[in-house]
Amino acid sequence: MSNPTDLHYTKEHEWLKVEGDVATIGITAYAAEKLGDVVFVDLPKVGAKTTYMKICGEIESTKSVGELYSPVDGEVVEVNGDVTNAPELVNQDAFGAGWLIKVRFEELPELMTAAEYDAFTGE
Amino acid sequence: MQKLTDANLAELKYYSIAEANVAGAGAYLCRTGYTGEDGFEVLVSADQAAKIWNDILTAGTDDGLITAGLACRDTLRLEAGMPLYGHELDEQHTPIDAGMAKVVRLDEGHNFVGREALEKITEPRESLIALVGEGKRAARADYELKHPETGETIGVVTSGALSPTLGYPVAMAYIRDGNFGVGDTIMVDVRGNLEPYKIVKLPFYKREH
Repeated sequence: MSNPTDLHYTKEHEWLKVEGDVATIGITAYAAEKLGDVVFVDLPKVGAKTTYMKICGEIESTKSVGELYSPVDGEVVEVNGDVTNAPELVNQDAFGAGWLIKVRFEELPELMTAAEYDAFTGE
Repeated sequence: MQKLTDANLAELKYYSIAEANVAGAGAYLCRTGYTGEDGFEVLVSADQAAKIWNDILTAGTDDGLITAGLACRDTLRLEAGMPLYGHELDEQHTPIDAGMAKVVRLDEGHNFVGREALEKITEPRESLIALVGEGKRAARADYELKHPETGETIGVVTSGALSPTLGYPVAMAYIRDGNFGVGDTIMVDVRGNLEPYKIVKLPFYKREH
């Protein structure tokens, strides 16, 4: 599995795609595979404030419950309703249709590159 | 399995055991497995285990055999309503609490450790119940049951998952409020959110024989 090089990554296995001051956020394919079949996704509402490395949602698989940590300080501007209705999108297309939220941020924290994340996960 | 053994599997009934040759090694072949499904458990000496495992995988390839892990086994046994030690069965509950009084013989001539204690008990202190969730959020082990009106804690989930076979959450739990029975709805505290769960009869799922 390859981690796209145009994305940023966190140690909590999130990816960010930065466009201007908005980051699209999801969990990595590595994380999705480790979780197993995702059956429920609980996301923050549009307008909610997020804080760096604070829990802002939950991803539940048949095996366990994983927490979604916000990788940035900001405000949620869009939530992926498709993934709420069809949580399996997280497994099927973690870096695409399985995106979770879009957050408007002021400042990006230090994040990992794809190569650093590869090394972090030992891939 | 029949491809690999000299035992006549048609004659090996559910929950029976036989000595057999499996993939060239001496084994105990048991038509058991804590899943509610038909299947076999193979007991062999440790030094033969890896070879037999691989032989079984190879023999089953054409029939679509795939491997499954402990989480699969655990959801299957939960769907079948089978209690598991460390969850439904533990040192805090009697067989009567767990609805297993029928496997305890209290008639004359059967002495066993714990008999004296069990004889004193007439009513279960808590009851093991089966729950089905109305939403998608699974009640998992150790989540608390709440009274639908008072919000009081009335029990605890022992096993729970979103059933892959049924598509909705199922759980087993101990309830200590005797006023609730099959058909009633109680609440489960799923990480701070109260989710409605209906009490049903076990099992959640039974395979067709």
